[in-house]
Amino acid sequence: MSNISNSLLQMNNIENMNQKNTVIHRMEPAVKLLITLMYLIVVISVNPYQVSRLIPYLFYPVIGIILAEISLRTMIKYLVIAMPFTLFTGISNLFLNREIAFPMANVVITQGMLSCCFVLLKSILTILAVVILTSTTSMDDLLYAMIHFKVPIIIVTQIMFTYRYIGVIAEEASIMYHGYILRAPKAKAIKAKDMGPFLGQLIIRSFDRAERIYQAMKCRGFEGYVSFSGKKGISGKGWFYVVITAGILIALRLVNISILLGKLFM
Amino acid sequence: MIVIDKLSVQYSDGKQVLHQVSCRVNDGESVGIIGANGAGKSTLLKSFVGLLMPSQGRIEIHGVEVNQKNVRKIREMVGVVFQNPDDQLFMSNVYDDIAFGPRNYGMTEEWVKQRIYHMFHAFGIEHLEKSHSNKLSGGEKRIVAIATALVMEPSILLFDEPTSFLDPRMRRRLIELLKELEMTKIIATHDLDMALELCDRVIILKEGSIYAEGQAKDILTNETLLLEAGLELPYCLQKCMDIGKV
Repeated sequence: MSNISNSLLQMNNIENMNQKNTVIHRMEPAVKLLITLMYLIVVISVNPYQVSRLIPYLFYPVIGIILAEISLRTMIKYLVIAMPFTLFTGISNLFLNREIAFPMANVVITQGMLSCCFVLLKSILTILAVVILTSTTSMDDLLYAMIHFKVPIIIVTQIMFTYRYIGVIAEEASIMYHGYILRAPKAKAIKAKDMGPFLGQLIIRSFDRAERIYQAMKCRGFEGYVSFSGKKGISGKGWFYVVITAGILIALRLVNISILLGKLFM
Repeated sequence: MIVIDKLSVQYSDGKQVLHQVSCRVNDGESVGIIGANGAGKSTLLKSFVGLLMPSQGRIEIHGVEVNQKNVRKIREMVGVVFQNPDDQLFMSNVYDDIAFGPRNYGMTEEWVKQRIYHMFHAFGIEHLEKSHSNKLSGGEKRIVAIATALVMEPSILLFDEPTSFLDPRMRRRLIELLKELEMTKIIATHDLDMALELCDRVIILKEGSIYAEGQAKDILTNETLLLEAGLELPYCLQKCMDIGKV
């Protein structure tokens, strides 16, 4: 709970990163969204245990991170937040699947080990792709891109409000937490016995705040969905990027570059 | 012109907030609505734009009755600046926040852009165009919140506690800004000094009813009346009395 302010700060940091002016930041949001989606589909579609087929896909996050000037530290921070869940799944495979896959030098490689590496690598690739997208594109631009791809306006509006609402709850929680901690100087966090009323109050306050925001929106003509006008779709240049990237991704999916390179050097 | 005729408003829990309120606001007038906490000031403002519907009586704005059918038209004519600007600024940057209303009313993007740049220029906030709303200072947020209402060129502007959250210098800037606005202004406030300076007329609400109504300089200098309504003399007048100038 003491990290609420930090969480808010992190949301701000992501939005700050959107403000840079690199090649990737300047790229049209719809192009970035499309390329990221294609990348995710291709990476997810790789068959289990084929670790070597995933390795070439590292080119995308590596190039993305360099061109978007995202610090490695930032990337590692987001990976650390997202990885524990995958790590748990991956490590479980080590114990659940001990079937021998192949020996390497004096070490026996089990299917579980391969599966663990595969799950971890796949997660790292997909997380990095999403972080690159969100670090270089503002939420509004992403929403406009969704509209461009004919995602129903009601879904886009819901995504927008969910994103905004996280901030509202976090702000209210932060205010309440400071109020609590100032009157409970010995407490390092909210005590279990106080958690019930705290969460109850948080929900009530968040609803009140959300209601006030909703009223302000209604006063300015809001009728259930946000009007997303005035943003451009994909230009000819944008389509060129999409086609080139799609070509590379499909080629990597069809041809096992790792084996080709291996044969070349052996 | 705004005509309020025997307006009563009841919350969904049955609590009667306004009782038989009747008054008129003429075009171009600045009217202050004052009263103790819970007197019904914010409720009255919300009724003007149909956020709360009358349980009895009626409100007419430029001849259009405030009801579910007309609410969109009413909200196009009446701009609202809420007490807490954080409630009013919800898009990711100032430009999109100001553009929110016009876009919802189907204005062309060219029109929206022109109006927004006009607002930026008028308020001297060009530098805030790409800023995130949550990173602005209290005063900047207030100015942007006013711009979000003014961009629609409303003929009536409602303010709920416009000077709250402002430091003295920003408060002064805001008062000067409000003086320059020529449209009808209705200001619900506890800041009686500001009401004295800005408003032609003042309405005192007490327990949901109109307790007194009249010229600002008459109402706000009547200590007995103000005390009866749970208020007090504006601070500037109190100080003047202390030094024997009134």
